[in-house]
Formats: sequence, structure tokens, C-alpha cells
Amino acid sequence: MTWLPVSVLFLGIILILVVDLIFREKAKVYTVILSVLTLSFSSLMVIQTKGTNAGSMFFFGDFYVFFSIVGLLSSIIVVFSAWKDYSVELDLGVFFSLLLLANAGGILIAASRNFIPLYLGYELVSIPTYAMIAFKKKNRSSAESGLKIFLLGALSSAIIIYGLAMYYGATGTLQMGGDIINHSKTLAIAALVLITVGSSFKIGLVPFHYWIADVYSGASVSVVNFLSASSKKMAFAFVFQIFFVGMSSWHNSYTYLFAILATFSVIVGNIVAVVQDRLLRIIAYSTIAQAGYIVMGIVAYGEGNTFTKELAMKGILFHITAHVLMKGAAIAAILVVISSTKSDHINNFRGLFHTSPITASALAIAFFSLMGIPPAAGFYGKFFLFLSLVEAGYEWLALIGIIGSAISIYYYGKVIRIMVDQPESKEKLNSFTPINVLLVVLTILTLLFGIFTQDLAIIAENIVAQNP
Amino acid sequence: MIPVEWFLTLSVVMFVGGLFGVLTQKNAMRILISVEIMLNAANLAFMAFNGVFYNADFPNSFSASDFEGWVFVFIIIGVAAAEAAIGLAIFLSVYRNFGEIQITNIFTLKEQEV
Amino acid sequence: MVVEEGIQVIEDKFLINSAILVILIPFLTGIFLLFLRGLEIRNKTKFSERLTGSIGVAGLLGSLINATIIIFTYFNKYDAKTQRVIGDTPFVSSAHGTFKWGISLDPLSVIMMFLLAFIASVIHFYATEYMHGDTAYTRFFGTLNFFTGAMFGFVLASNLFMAFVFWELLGVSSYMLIGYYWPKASAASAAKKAFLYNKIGDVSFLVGIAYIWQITLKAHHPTLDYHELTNLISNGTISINQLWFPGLLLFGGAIGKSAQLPLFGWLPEAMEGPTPVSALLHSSTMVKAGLFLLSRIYFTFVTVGGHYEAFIPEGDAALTATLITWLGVLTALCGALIALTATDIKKVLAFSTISQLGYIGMAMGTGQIHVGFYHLVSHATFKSLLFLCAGAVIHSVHSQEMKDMGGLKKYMPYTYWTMLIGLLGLVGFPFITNGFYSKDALLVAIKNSDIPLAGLAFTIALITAGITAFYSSKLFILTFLGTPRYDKDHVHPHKTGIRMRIALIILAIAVVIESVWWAVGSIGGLASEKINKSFWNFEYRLGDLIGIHGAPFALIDTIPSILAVILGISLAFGMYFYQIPFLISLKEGGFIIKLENIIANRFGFDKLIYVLAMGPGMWVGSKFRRFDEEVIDGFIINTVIKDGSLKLADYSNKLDQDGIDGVVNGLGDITSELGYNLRKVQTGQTSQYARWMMFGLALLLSIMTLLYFQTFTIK
Repeated sequence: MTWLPVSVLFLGIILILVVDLIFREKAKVYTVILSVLTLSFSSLMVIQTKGTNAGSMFFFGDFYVFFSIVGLLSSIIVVFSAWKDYSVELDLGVFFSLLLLANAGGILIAASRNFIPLYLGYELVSIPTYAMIAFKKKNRSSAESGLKIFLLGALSSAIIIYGLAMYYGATGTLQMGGDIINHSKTLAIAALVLITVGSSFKIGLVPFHYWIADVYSGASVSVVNFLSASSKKMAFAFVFQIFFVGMSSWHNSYTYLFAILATFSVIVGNIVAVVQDRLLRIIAYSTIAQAGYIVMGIVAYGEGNTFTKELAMKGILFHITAHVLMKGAAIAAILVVISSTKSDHINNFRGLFHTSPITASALAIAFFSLMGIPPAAGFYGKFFLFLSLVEAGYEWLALIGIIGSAISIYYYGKVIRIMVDQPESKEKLNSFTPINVLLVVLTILTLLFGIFTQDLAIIAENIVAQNP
Repeated sequence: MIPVEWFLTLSVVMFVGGLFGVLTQKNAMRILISVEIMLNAANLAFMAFNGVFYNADFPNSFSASDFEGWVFVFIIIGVAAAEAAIGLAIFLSVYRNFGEIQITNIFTLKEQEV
Repeated sequence: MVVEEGIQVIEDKFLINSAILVILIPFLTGIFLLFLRGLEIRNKTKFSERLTGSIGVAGLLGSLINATIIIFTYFNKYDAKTQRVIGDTPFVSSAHGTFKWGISLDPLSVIMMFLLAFIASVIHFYATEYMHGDTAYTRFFGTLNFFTGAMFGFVLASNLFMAFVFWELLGVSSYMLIGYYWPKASAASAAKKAFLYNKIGDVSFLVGIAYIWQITLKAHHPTLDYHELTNLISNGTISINQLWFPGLLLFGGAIGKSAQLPLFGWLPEAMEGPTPVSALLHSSTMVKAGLFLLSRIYFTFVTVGGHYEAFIPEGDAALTATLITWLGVLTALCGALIALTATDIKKVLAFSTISQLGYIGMAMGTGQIHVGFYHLVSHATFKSLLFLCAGAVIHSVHSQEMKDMGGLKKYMPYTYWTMLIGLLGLVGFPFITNGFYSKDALLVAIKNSDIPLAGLAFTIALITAGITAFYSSKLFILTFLGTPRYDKDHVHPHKTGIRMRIALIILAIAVVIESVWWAVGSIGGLASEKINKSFWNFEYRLGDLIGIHGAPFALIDTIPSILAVILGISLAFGMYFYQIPFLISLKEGGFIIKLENIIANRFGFDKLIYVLAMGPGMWVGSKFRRFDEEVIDGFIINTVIKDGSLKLADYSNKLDQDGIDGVVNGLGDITSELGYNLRKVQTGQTSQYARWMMFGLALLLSIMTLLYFQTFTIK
């Protein structure tokens, strides 16, 4: 009963593989339908299983519900964009089963209260991701980006494991929230630094961010969508589990590290994005910057009292939800352009408002949201994050965040301006109905985000209450 | 009994050695092997720590949490196998595309000089 | 030291040292050859094939000589029934038990070792000619010797720990051998597949070992030795109710290595390796390792009673034995069915191996270990012969497809006769072949066993025997008889070379000797009780030595299998050789073609799911289209988006030009400058990225060290 969401996913994987094997070329639509059904059904099951008891290793609270559902629903966006993506459509069934497998890992991460299942979930997300990135077997850049993320990812995972070993040595348990045994401070410091480094790689903080730009520009666009909208959220869930639950009593040590990393990320991400001329690379660097904003939430959470913690958690949840919507929409829109023009160079977006109004307006609204302009979704998250930083006494970090946002207006605005220009040719882009539906839905959700903030705020308060 | 510090020293030596390999080797296969050494360093540390933490009255009475470190070692071995599998597949596809797996020669994805 | 009542452990330095040599000689020659290969690559030369080939063969001959000494000394000097020669060396000692390197010489391991040494030597000899002219000749023999050495180590190991070490070495070296032609993509992926499939089993094996260790530790007798485990079971310290689950996990390892039902996919693809490798892989190494493991750990799934009876335990513990048996039965059937449809000569043999492995697994599952081992010996001999013959045929016509062969009898008389001998063994031709007697013993074992639905299992096994006869005859007819179908202008079938011919003849003689041996034992055993108890009756004697007895050979039991075999052979000859119109019509319109379709369609899954999924899929698709046409195109695009978004964009354009540009321009120049400089670190070099990561690690570490006294103030 407890593991119904995961069982549903595995059932879905088997069905998809069977259908794919049997129908071959004709299986595309069925696998899409099956994946969407599986993901939605699994989300329903997640809500059903909230609050069940499965021993001390797991806890099925609000954190579990939120992050599982964010992962599952954002994967639906990936399913739709992969449907359109010419470069993965040949083996769609395999691709989707990898996607569902990664989601099973995400659920495991969100439910854990012990480092063993947590780490297992982390690898269950990472390993299918490597496979998805290197999915286009005959494509040089796909293979190369797969190689890069695999080598660096394996390195970071080895570092995390070593950190966990040190944690085990320092606390004598792998259960989260262990206290440090006497005389093991050195081990604790080693554990903290190693785990911070390993998880910073996954969420892409400077200076562990190098893979992001290369992989985003090398892999298929739908994989980029997965990395940015879905897998990144699972990685964040991993980080939150470790630092909010696992090391909850160490908070006066890790806030320093994350303040430094957040500063680097926001500054470097935003500044390097300014000089980019390919949309996917802009998205990549903006992802680095956005990760910096979310990490600011970790700083505020670790430093503050309950009220600040609630503010920070609200900011984190808002920003993560908004990030799914706006990044999902932006990358799906870029995918439409790429599948027509075969390149994501900024010049291919010239006059997009005239050739493909839906795509262009979805992209524009997503960018407004990323800038943090109200009432788009991105505004709420940033607002609460900066607010919690001020409450926690980190005004300087909030200031850096605001400067970063100001810089981001420049490069997003550049793209929007180019899209308004007169196009070079009046040719309409090929449009694809499911993607258009997806874009419309995401855009509406982005604009109406304010409606959901109330519910998310309650979830955030519950999470803070449930964390030790 | 051998003191736990000896195991930890060996483990750190293995970890740093593996790390050194990752940073200096040029062949992707060798890097993967170095990463495996790092994983085994962690395994060794887990084993050694669990030897310290387990119930002294061991065979007669114990609970599941006495084995956490050892259980984790098995999981790490399994994960390492899965990781190696994916890695080999990726190396194969890189080899098909580039004709080699020397990572110093594979850098088509980078920032263009403007 | 008395380990078990009636069983005596002997220390014999001479035999143990010889056994160590059996393992070490191929290993060391293998490593030496790989070292030579390294020199070759470095100096861009090639050592003469005569030299490297001789070293390779000499390594195996060294093993063979030692193995011969051991097998004769052991069976003559000692009473194999009650005396075991064991030599252990502690490897890791701890407060809670010891891991050991150990050699165990007992009837099973000694016979297996000799068989392996013999077959591997012949195959090595064959390979010296077969691989002639290959650029990496040295590497081939290096890995082949290494591989054989690993198998020797596995066979002679006295405990599960050492067995696992060599098990892994087997996996690695088989990876190298299957992927021998690695520049070919299919070979590389076949090797990868074999490695991964085996790896799945390996993890299960490892967990099983740990489980057994934990159980014995709880019982205050931590051990992984086969003998001590048997001892613990027989004196009641641990019971089979504790061991059946770890037994199942160990069987998981055997599934991977021995290509049993869910994990058999790698074996047919392993054909990508050179033919000698296939022969070795399929006959006495690798795939037999899993089954040999079963025969070593039989105490985890069957109870051996005091008086030579093996029976399946009651309760949960029966699960493992049932599972092994039924997986074996199904593997046998599936392998045979797929072999029926295969057109590639090596593929037919590969699937027949899977089928025969299923047979052996089935017998082991019922607890009749000696019967399984009996068939294992027969199969190892005739299957290695068959593969070498197939290699000779392929060498000659340069194709693996049976449709390109036919009428080769005239050109390759030696191969024709030797292959006939091998195929008769595979078919189990009544009374004159080794396969007949061992297969009959298998069928009797399954019929008399008390696993659930034993009758059904027996029927399936019988049908499988018929199918085996059919596809073997088909292979024979299509290859050697009838009219030639190869391209006569380009292909000139030639006689096999002298060394290959010698190898074929040696193995054929071995099959014949075995056939005579089995026949004398079984038929003679009917007449004289003396023969029945002597070494001539291999099955009875082996069972006697390891303490299990099955039903004796009886003519009445052979009738069903004789009928099945004759039916299979005559159908095949009628269909492919005499081409009787009735049978042809059967083949084309009726049963066979239907069967082929069923197999090709993955046993009918297709249609069912097609019907179930097609209808709803179409319906949803049509609805989607209507939604698209009416709602999206009509309303959203034209009315809402187009007009609204253009206005929005104009506004943002203004905002950008008037407001933001003015503010940012001054800052913007600085930012851009910084951006250009910062992006230069993104060089695309992975190792440089890793170094930056380590820079970050060092930075954070030094910060934390500086703050040492301010951190972790809580507690």
C-alpha cells in the first residue's frame, strides 16, 4: 500500500516497454498516453499514501507529497516535449521508461528518513539521467555531453558516498538527524564539506556548474527539459533532505558554505548569461542563477527561527513550483523553434511573434516570470526568499540576489526584443498541437500562480512543523 | 583487533589516490576505474566504522541498525555496477562517434571565443 | 579431522600442489601472453604464431597432465566415497570467522576439472589453426588461458568466497573474449550484454554468500566451506528452512551464468566471439559454472536423507527446488522452440545449449545432482565437438546461414562424420549415444520427483526431446545433405586443416568412448549386478560417491524418449530430406508455420494487446484532433494570443529601449566585459571541470577548517 506510487510507475514502465516492443513504429502515441496516465495516476497515489507509516526509515509527510508530485507532474511536460522532439522519437518507449524510473528515484528521495534509501533514490535519479542524456547514439554532441555528465557525476557521487561514510563515522548512525559523537568534529566537517560539494554538483552551483552549459547545449531539448524542470527538483529534494532533516542540528556550520556558493552562483550565472547567443546556453546559465536563489533559501532556513524558516520554505516551494512552470514552458517553446530551424541561435528567434504567436508569447511570459516581474509565478518565490534572508540577518546576500535579478532583465529582454523584430521570412513554423496545448496550459498557470500560493504556504508551514 | 584508524588511513589513501587518478588520467576508462577506487574507499570506511559501532555482544543479540554500514556497502556495490554499466554504454557511443575515449580530445561543446 | 560421519578429510600436499598448478599454469601463461601482447603493441611487431600458440597450448597441456595425475591418484589412492582431499589457507581472519583460499578435491570437482582440462586443451589446439592470421593472435590465447584458469579456480574452490572471486574473473575474461572483435559494434554490444546479464546474477550471488555467512555466524560456526556447511546441515546445527532463501539467491547467480530463463538473452549474442570461444563457453566453462555451483550447494534446496535419498523439503523450503526445476523445464522448452526457428547454424547450437542447460538445471532441482552432472559431462563433450564442427563449416563456406550450405558431405568428410557423431549425442539417439543414457536418466529423475506437477514437467521435457531431435536433424540435413545452395562462383568448400581435423577427431573419439562407457554401464548393469556397482555405471557410481541414488536404468523407462526422438528425426527427414508433399504442406500451411509465427510473435502477445490498445488509442486520437481544430485554432490562437501577445511584446520593447537600456547601459558594459572573461574557463575539457570542482572542494574545506572552532558548537 505504502509503495503504490512506485508500483504504479514500475507497472507503467513494463507496459510501455511491452507496447513499444509490440507496436514498434506505431507505438508513439500509446507510449505517450501510457506515460501521462502512469504519471498522473502515480500522483494520485502519492496523495492517497500521505501519512502512512512505514517504519523509521521513511516518512510520508507534506515534503514527500510536494516533491513527488512536482517531479511527477513536471515529467508530464517532459513527455509532451519528447513527443515532439525529433531526436528522441525513435525510441520513445525506452526514453519514457527511463523517465518513469527516475521518478521512482525522486519519490524515494522525498520519502526517506535514512541515508540508505536517500542515496539509493539519488542514484536512481542520476543513472537514468545519464542514459537519457546520451540517448542519441549517433550524435556527437549527445555522446559527448553524456560522457561529461557521466564522468563528473560519477565523481560527485563518489564524493557524496565518502561524505556519507564520514557522516556515519561522526554520528554512528545512518538515520537522519543523528547527533555527533564526542571527538568526531573533524569527521563531521569532512562529511559536511564532501556532501555539500557532491550535492552542489547536482544542483549546479558555481564552481561545480561546468557540466550544465555543455550538457544543455549538447543533449536533446526534451532531455534538457527533464534536467531543468524535473531532475533538478529531485536533486533539490535530496539537498533539502540532507540539510534540513539529516543535518538539522549542524545548521550553524553549513549556512556559511551555502552563502558563499549562492553568491558565486548568482553572480557568475547571470553575468555569463549576458554574453550568450544561444538560447539553450542562456537557459543553462539562468538555471545556475536560479539554483543560487533557491540555495539562499537554505541559508535563511538554517539561520533563522521558526518564522524565518517558514518564510524560507515558502520561498523555496514557490520558486520550485514556478521554476517548473517557467522553465518547462521556455524549453518547450525553444523546442518548437529548434525542430523547425535546427538551431537555437538567437537569430532564429527573430520575429517569432509574427511567425508563431503562441510560442513567442509563451516564451516571453516565461521570461517575464524568470525575471521576477509580478504577477508571473517567478515573482512570489524570489520575494519570499529575499524576505527570509533579510529576516535571517543576511541582508548582503539579499542584495546580491536583487543585483543578479537586475542583470537577468538585460539578457531576457534582449531575447524578447529580438522576437518582436520583423522576421526575415514570413514562413510559419511547424506547430504541433500537444506542445501548443502544453504551452497554453503552462502560461496560464504561470500567470495565475497567485491563486495557488495559499495552498503552497500551508504545505510549507506543515513541512517546517514536520522537520526535526 | 586492528584499530579503526588504520582502516581509515588506508581508506583516505585510496580516496585520494582515486581522486588523483580522476584528475590526471586522460582515458575515460581509467577515470571510471579511479572512481571505482574512490567508491571502494568509501566501502572500506563504512566497514571499519560499522566494526566500531556494532553491538559488542554481537552474535547473541543484535538489531537491524547494527548492520547499517554493511548493508550500505552492498547497496554501493550494486549501484557501482549499474553506474559502470551505463558508463560502458556511454563510452561505447562516444567511441563510435569520436573514434577514441581520450577525454582531452573530446571538447566540441564549449564556449565559443567571441 | 572428521568432518562428517563417514567422511574423512585428508591432507595431501602433493595432490594439493598439483591442483594449485592446474589453476596457476593457465593463469600465468595467460598473463605472460597478455604481457607479450603489450610488447607487441608497444613495438608494433607481432611474435610468431608458432611461439605464442605453443605457449597457449602448453599452458593447457600442463594443466591436463596435472589433472590426469590428480584424477588417477585420487581415485586409486583414496576411497572417493569417504575421503576428501582439502587444503585451506586463511586469507582474512577476524574475531568472527575466517575467509579462506582452499582447494577441495572430491569426486565432482576432480571429474569436472579433468573434463575441463581435456576439452579446453583440444579447443586450444584447434584454435591455433582457426585463429591463424588474426592480428591479435597473442591476445586471443592470453585471454583464453586466463579464462580457463579462472574456471579451474572456480571448480577447485573449497568455499564460496574463493568460488566468488573466480566467478568474477570468469565474468571479466568472458567479457574480453566475447568482445574479442571489439571494433565491430555488434561484438562490443554482445560483450556488454553478457557482462551486464552476468552482473545481475553476480549481485544476487554476493548477497546470497553474505546471507549464508550471517546464518552460520548466528549458529556460532561462521563458515563458507561446502564441506563444513554440509556438516552443519547433517548434524542439525542449521536447518534447510534457514538456507532455502540464500540458496535461492545463489541460484540467482547461476541463472545469470548458466543462461536460465529470464537471463538467457546474452548467450546467443555471445556468438560474436570467435568459434573456439563459443565452443569453450558452451561446453565446459562459463555456462556450466552456474550448474556446477548448484551441484556444490545442493544442501540449500534439497534434503539428503541418511540412506541415499535426495528429496525436496516440505514447506517454504520447497520453493527453491521447485523454482530451479520449473525454470529448467521452461528454459529447456523455450530454448528448443527458438532453436527450431533459428536459421544461423551457430544460433541453432546456441539455443540448443540453452535448452540442454535447462535440462540439467531441471535434474539438479529435483535433487538428483548426479544425474544433472551425468548429462553435464555428456553435453560438454558433444557440444564442444558440435561447435568446432560448425566452426569448420563456417570457415569453409564463409557464412553462418544454413540456407547458404547444403551438400557439404562430399567436400568435408571428416567434419561430416564428426558432426554426425556429435548430433547423435545431442539428439540422444537410442542405445548407441551418450546423450541417450544421460537424457533418459534426466527424464526418469523428473518423473519420479515430488515437485508440484511433475507429470506435466515430464511431458514438457519429453516434447523438448522430440523438438531437439527435429531441429538437430534439420541442421544436419540442411548443412551436409541435399543439393549445395552456396554461391558456387565465390565459395569453394575445402577440407578442414590438419590441426582442426585432429581436434575434431579427438573429440569425436571422446564422444564415442563416453557412449560406449555409458552403454556398457547401463545395459551391462541390467545383466550383472557387478557391473552395475563398478565404475562402468557412471551414474550409479557418481551418485554413490556423493551420497545420492536415483532410480536404476530400466528399459521400460526409455520407451517414451525413444518414441519422441524417432518421431522428431523422421519428421525432419520427411520434411527436409525426402520432402514428402504431405509433410511439406504441413510445414507450409499448418502446424510448423503456425508455431513459427507464434514464436516470432512473442507467443501471441501482440495480437491481444493490439486489440486491447488499438481501439481506445484511435478514439483518443480522434478526439484530440477535434479539440485541436475547433478550440485551439479557432479561439485561442486567433482571438486571444495573436492580438494580445503582439500588444504585450510592443510594450516590452518600449520598456526595454526607454527604461532599461538607459539604466543598464552603463552597468551593462562592465557586465558584458566580465561575462566575456568568465566564459573563457568553459573550455570543454572534462578533466579541467573536475579540477575546478576539486578547487571548490579545497576552498570549502579550508573555509571550514578556518572556522573550526566556531562550527558544531551544538553538543
